Amino acid sequence: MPATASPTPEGGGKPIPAEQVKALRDATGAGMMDSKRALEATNGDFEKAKDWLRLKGMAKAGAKSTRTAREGIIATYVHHNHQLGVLVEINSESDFVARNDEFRHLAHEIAVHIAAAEPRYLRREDVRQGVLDRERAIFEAQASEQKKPANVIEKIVQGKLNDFYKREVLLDQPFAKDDKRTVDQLLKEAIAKLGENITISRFARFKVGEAS
Amino acid sequence: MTAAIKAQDVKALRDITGTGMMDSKRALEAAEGDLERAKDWLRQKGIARARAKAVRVAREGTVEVYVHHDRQLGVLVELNSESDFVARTEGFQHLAHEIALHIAAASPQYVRRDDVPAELIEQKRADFRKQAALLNKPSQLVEKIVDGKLNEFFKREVLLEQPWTKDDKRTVKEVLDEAVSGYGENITLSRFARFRIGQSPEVESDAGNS
Repeated sequence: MPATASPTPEGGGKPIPAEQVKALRDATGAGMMDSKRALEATNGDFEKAKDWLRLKGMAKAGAKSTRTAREGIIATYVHHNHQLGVLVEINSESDFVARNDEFRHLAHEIAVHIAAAEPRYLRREDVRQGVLDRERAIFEAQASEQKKPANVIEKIVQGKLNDFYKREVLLDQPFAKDDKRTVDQLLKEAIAKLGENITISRFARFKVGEAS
Repeated sequence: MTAAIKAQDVKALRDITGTGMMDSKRALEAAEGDLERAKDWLRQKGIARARAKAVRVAREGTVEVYVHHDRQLGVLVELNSESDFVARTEGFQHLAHEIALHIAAASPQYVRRDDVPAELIEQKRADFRKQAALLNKPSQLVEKIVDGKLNEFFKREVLLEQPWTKDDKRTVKEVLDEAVSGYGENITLSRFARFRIGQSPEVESDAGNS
């Protein structure tokens, strides 16, 4: 007989072995009940259960992301030759989370990312309208030279504007250490994990001899 | 007839965009000599990359950070020299570190007087004049009081005019001037950032919106 087999409420589903629940908990840091529910919802498929928990966490993170975060820490990075430096403010809701090791690690990773990825703006709203108009005009001129119908041109322009955001806007940039996620998604995952809203409020990046 | 394109403009465009001489010249001709429009033209034609190299200024130097042990305050500062040689000396790095500490303690808002927005100076002047008017003094005296108060404002908010925290008989500018004569080359402080948790304008406006 297997050690423990918890019967599912529906009766029809497979019973979930306790060691699987424990393995999922260890892998994701989710609670016992959530891990069990995830395995039940995915018929005991471990990988799918992980995705299920992530989606659930993301949904929770979305709800939390409107709350005000005014605690936090300042993270810094300076290149060993002192030719490049970064200062970034990362906020949490509580002092408690601000002192958490995982939060501090995230802050450090973001500072390193900023050093490598050279964002110019924090969020899309920070791009001045004049800059955006100019980019748009260039993309439109490029697209119209290809003699495409207007709706296709608009799609191309929109795609290029998105590329522009991905290149210049910190929250839209692919995370330097794992480009399958954006920096914004990285924050959302941290929100899901730490249970509080987490935001980046500002950053500065200085490279010697570069005009600000 | 098209406007004559100046050789130094062609060179400037080449330096900024990294494109060839002929392309740069054609771009300037198409843009009637306008450098910004020529940059856009090069991108439209797919000749220049979207991300032009950042404008390089001829300066060496060092970037220094300071972060308070509780991580609630951080400073980033760029101190410049003319040569790489001076920038790498221990004394120069130490000076950059001391300046970062000074900025943390003295919380300046601007590097130099020229960085203070003209409207803010006008507003301060008007405020000081109003205060001085209450003293019922002759008008030339009022102006002297206003100038004095404005100088105090600069001493408080402008980094180069602040008294040096480690020795308040000298200003930060005087400390830099001493370094200039010590190294025999120009030393400048080009920029700084000072972040304190919860003091960013973004946080303030978030609170206003909620």
